[in-house]
Amino acid sequence: MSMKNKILLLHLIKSKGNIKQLTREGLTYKNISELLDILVREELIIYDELKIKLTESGNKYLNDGRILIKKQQKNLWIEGENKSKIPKLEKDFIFLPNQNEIHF
Amino acid sequence: MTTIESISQLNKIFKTNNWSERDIDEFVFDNFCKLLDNLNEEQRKLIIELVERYKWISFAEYPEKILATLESIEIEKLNSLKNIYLFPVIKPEDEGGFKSGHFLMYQIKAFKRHLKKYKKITFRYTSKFETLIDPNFKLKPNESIFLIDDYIGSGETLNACLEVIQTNPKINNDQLNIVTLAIQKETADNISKEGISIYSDFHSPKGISDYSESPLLEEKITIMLEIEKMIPGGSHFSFGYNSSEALITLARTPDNTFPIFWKEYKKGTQKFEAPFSREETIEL
Repeated sequence: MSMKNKILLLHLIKSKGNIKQLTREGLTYKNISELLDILVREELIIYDELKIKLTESGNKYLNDGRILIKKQQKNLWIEGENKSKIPKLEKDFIFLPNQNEIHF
Repeated sequence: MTTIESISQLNKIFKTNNWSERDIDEFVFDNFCKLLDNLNEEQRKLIIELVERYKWISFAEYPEKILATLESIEIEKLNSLKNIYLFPVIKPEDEGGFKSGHFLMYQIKAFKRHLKKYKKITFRYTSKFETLIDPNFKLKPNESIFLIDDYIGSGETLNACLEVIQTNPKINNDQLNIVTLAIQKETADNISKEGISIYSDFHSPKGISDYSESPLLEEKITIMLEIEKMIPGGSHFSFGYNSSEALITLARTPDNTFPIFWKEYKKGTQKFEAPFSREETIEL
């Protein structure tokens, strides 16, 4: 499991964030549950009855590694809106609208 | 309870019950997680509570479970028997079909020699009602009928089966025994009152009503009704067929189980598969 995924999971636990951020990274739910086990073993998180909390070292680990999940290059976090894109028209293209579709 | 907290609980339940060893565990786990992510905090909490009580008997466990159930019958009773007629729990119209009772009977046939208490007993297998209701058919005092099934829910099939068998006046209720992997507790109580013995590996209680008291009970019922709104056509099976509130999956999931565990549901316009999705079958 990459360090980035660990940081991201710690961040989501702390911020009560949306788990889809992890599945979007390509992790299955099984992977996420295994990652949780690892975080418990490494004493980065702890169970308080049914709740999960970051330990002191978990908080430190998150703060030290936060840079890994910070999206600095804008092309990584701003996705182009490509679905409305239409093909470029040639310079000498003349548009002749369909007479039946003209409404004023 | 956040989605992450509920996934962690789910993972614990899977490990405790050894469900992670199952062939389809990842498919079930994945669909469970998607479900948890589609619910709100209190709905998630209720689902986790119910999964903790959930019974999942896989197809691979059938031989072991049915043999164990047969071995659980009192030795005094078995010592007095020479012949046992085995018959699947089926409705008259299902005669000649493929029901779980037939499948279990085949397994009993294959593994009979492993049954320690039955060395001196002969098993007679039949799946035709006419054998039992034939005017010449008479049960001797050292003979008995075992009705076999994997799951008995509201008891409709069982009652239909019993009605036919009981038309033979030479068969008494105390000679009838139900041997099943699991049975709804309420149904078992009703059948026992008629003097018919029931042997089952698991008596299934009502998932919500048998575990909660007012006012928590009403709260949980409201939460479940809210969850069921996500299921198209779910009102027909609200709280499971006949409101059985079952929490069980065997080789298939009976419709007595809360529908959110086996019926497709919707969140917005997107459809999701249930954890133990139940494929409809057509028998001709």
